[in-house]
Order: sequence, then C-alpha cells, then structure tokens
Amino acid sequence: MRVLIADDEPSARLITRKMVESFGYDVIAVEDGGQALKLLLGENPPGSQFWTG
Amino acid sequence: MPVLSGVDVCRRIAASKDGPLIYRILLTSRTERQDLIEALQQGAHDFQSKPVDPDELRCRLKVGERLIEAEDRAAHYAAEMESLAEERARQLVHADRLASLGTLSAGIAHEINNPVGFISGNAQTQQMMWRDIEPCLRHCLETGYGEPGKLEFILNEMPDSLLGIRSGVERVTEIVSGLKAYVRKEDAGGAREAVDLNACIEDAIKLCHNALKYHVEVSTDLAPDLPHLLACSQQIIQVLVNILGNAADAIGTQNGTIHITSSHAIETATIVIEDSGPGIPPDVLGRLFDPFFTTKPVGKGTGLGLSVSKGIVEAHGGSLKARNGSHGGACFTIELKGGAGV
Repeated sequence: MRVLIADDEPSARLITRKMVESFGYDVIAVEDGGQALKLLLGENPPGSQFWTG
Repeated sequence: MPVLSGVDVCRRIAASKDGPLIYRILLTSRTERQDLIEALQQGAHDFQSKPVDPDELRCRLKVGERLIEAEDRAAHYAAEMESLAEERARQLVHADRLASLGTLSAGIAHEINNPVGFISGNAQTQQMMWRDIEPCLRHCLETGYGEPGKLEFILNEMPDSLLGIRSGVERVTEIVSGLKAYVRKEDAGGAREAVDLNACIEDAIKLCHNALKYHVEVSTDLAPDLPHLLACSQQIIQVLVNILGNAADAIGTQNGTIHITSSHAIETATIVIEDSGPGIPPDVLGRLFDPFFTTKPVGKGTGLGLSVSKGIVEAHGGSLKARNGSHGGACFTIELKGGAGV
C-alpha cells in the first residue's frame, strides 16, 4: 500500500510524510496537485493508492 | 498551469475511471461543514483536518486500506466469475449443438430405416434367388447358350455384388442404430440384471479376437471378488468392445498391448483399459465423445461409438472418461456405481 502526499507547504509536507512513513506505508510527497495528478493518472502510475492533499 | 486545489485533484481522479482504486483523503484546514460536504461530493473519500493528529490519520488510512483490499477482492472475484460465465456459455453452445444434432439424427434415422429395410430384404431375396439362377447360368454356359465371356463374368461377380449390397446395408443399419442409441441415450438402460463385470470383459475380448489376435497382446488384471452389478450386460459388452476396437485401431499394424484391470471400492466398480498406442492428441481429447467426431478415414468410423458408449455408461449412473496413460497410450476408465450392494 502506497501513499501520495501533496502539500505546498514544505514543513507540513515533511511532517505528514514522516508520520505516514511511521505507520509503515511507502510514501511519495509532491508539492502541488498538478504533480500529484501527473503521478497518479500519467503514463506509468506508480500504483499509489492513497492520496492525501 | 493554474494551481489545483485539493478538491480539484479529487474531482479529476474521481473522473478517471480506469485502474485500481485511488483512495482520496483531503488534507484541509477548512472545517466549515459546507466545505467538507462539497469536498466529499466532488470525489474525496474522506477528509483530515489540519493540524494532523497522527492517531486520527492512521485510522483514516486504515479505513482506506480496508476499502482497497475489498475492492481488490471484488475485482478478482468478478474476473473469476467472468471467465466462469464464458466457460459455461461455451458449454451451453456445445450442448445446444449436440441437442439439435440429436433431433436431426432422430429424424434421419427414422426416415432411412424404411428404405434400408427394402434394400436389405430384397438383397436377401436376391441371394436366395441366385442359388436357383446360378445352376441355370452354368447350364447355359456348358451347353453353349449365350455369350460365354459374359456368362462367366456374371457367375464370378454376382455373389460378390450381392454380398456388397448386404454389407453396405449392414453398415447403414449400424450407423442408424448408433444414431438411435445416441438420441435415446437417456433411456438406454436396457434390461438390468446382476452382471459379472469380469465376465463382460472376457466376452468383449472374445468378441474382439479377430481384430486383436495377430498383433495385440491383451492382458488382464481382474479383481477376483468383484461384486455383481445391476446392469445390462449386453450394453456393457458393447462399450468394452467399442473401446477395445478403438485401441486396436490406435495400435495400428504394429505390435502392441492392451491391459485391462477391474477393481472395486465400497460404492463403485472400475474398469480401466489402457493401450500401447500413440495416445489421444490434446486437441482430440475434448471432442472424443462428441457424436460424429472421428479421427478415422471417411467410411471407416461412424464417430458414434464413443458417444453411444458414454451414453450407455451414464444411463447406468456411471462415468466413462478418457485420458492418456502413464506409458503414453490411451486410457479409458469406466466407473459404475452400486459395487457392493447388489
């Protein structure tokens, strides 16, 4: 199970990332919704199944 | 690119239908009820208010995980059901084809029977008449009446010609009765009696003696205490003869072996017939018991033997199965129920 986090505020992004990683999920963090969409719906989606943002 | 809000992203993901489920949790500092309702309506599954409480987020992620797992299981199940439905549809089409074939066959069998009767009866009459005609013709030949060449030709050819008609008719009769047996296989029970399967096997071997004697060595391994079964012995022998005949054909002109075993368990008696032929090709295995399916040259096999045999065994409440044996030859298993009780 993988989690994608999108947050434009770097400190919030980092904190959420560490938090979710501590739950045992693989995490990818991006800084805006455009990047998130590119990753989730692009040619080769990384199979991320959670999205928070 | 304009900056996309979290709600926008949720909406875009929700609009894209393909692929696995992406569970969407909106991280938001907005706490107005109307904002949250809006987010859920636009495609978020859930929301998490900022600042993020770890226990709360962990629980929300867990909920998503459960949903994704359920979705995976459902997708897997749906795929399984789909392939099962396809398989069933194929079987139905097949069964339907066989059923219409059965109806057609019944009609043909009925229509053909009468004219075949005329031919057969007249051929027999002619054979009887020939016994009277032959001495007359010989007399003509000896006394120099008529053309000697023509008379000799008639005297030589007539018996074969009459025999040819008879054997042709017998073949038609065989096909027609096979068809009728196939059509009626549901009630192809025949008269049931207590039957010794081992005796049936011995009888079948005797009946096939001609086809087997030169090149096939038949060995048996028969259970001595095989209980009698309630069955129609004639039909069981017919099935065995059929399988033995096929085995002999499969072995061809080379030397080969057929091994027959009988055994029984509490409820069933089993006969296994294994030959040393080349075995059954995989593409043939699935159609082996279809009526009119034959691998023999035109005019050699009717393609009805095994379909009738299967019908007979099933009418007895048993099963007839084919596979390739451990030595590569064909292996037929007849399983009949009611082993010990009868």
